[in-house]
Amino acid sequence: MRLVRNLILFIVALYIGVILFMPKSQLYYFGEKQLKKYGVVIGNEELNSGLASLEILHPVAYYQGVDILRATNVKIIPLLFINKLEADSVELLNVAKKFVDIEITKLKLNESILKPYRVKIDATGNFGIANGYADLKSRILHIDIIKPKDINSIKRYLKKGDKGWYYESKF
Amino acid sequence: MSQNSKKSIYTLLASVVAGLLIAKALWVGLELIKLPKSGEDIEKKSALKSLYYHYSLASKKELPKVIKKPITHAVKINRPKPKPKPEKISKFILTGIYDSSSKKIIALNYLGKSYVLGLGESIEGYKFTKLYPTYAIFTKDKKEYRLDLYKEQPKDTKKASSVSATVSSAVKPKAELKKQVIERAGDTTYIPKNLFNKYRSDIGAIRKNIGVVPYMSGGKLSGFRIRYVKKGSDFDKLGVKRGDIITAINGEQLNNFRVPLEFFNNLDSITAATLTIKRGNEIKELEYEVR
Repeated sequence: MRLVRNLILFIVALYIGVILFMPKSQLYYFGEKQLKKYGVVIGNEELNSGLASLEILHPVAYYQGVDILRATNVKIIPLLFINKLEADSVELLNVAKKFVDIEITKLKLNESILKPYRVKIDATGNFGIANGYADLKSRILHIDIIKPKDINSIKRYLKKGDKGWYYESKF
Repeated sequence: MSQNSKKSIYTLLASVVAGLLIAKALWVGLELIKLPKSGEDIEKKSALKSLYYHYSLASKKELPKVIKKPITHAVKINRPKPKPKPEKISKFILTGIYDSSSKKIIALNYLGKSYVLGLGESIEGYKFTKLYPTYAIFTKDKKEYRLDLYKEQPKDTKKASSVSATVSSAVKPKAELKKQVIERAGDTTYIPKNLFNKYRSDIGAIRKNIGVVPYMSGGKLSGFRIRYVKKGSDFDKLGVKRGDIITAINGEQLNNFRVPLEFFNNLDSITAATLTIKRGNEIKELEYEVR
């Protein structure tokens, strides 16, 4: 019994240690290096590493050297079993904005160990409220606009389904 | 406290400390082996090289014989040193510049006649010595003179410009230039500025008239294929056809998305462009000028 109790305590301590001592900035840099292989570079950012989170201030995403996206604040909470990303004021830039004129006031991505290949997406913006998922295995991005607001500028990218407007693409 | 309970607390603490230490050790190991110490910075690649081809004709009838040579890449040109500033020449009108890696040719108008000069050639004692994207430098008596590429004067400008005074015939086609239609002269297509601005600010309108998709070859991007061009639309007059593959813009190969993205980003400042297209087995160069 004592052995079991000690083992549980050890595992809990190990888990807490993994979260607390996680080199979040370095892991972020590692992620950046992976993204660079696909031509994506995050620039202009300031990192703020917390106990269980990493805050990325005013990042700008560049695709092949051209700035296409910026956010005022991105917070990553890596809890291993559940990982979260929250972004505020995500805005498309330049040419990307000309094609898709959307502004996301709040973006939430959730990934759970129960469905490791599925990233749940919740977004609020000038288009209304949307949720969906990105399936990393089948490489499908599906977004349902559940409360459409101003979708005229993006309607040409959307399809109409039983539940309403949705966006779906392969990546 | 009994010996047993003390031992129990120590074991508990040891479990906690061991858990934390192992976690730390794991991360330190991973940091040392795998994780980078710094992030990626954006490498500011040079902006899309502008095409050093400007061809501003005084009159369609006075087309200077410009040697046509496919432009394979934009040429890096050193900017002139600011001091001393060369004086401007008023007696000539520079109507065209052709600048490739091997040839530097200008077309100019003098007393109503068109002349074509190669680098090193002279006219009226002025020796053509240097060429820049929008002007040419001449030397006379060891002194440098600058000749700017002719630009259309604003309608209400009544200043007796040296240019208009010298060759009135050169200003004749003004009325033609005001037309809001796409015109072709030789291999160059002229796009009215207003029309260009209209599409520049409305990407949706472009998509309605022309469809372009990435063209992959051997798993790599090697250009953009034109899927459709709406018949009778402005884009139909640009000389491109369905099935054409745009392989380069201003000599820059379209083997990545940077070039088209930069091109779109810099639309505000674009006055001329050359598209290299593949039509069947044929490679064509389509030249455009916005004015």
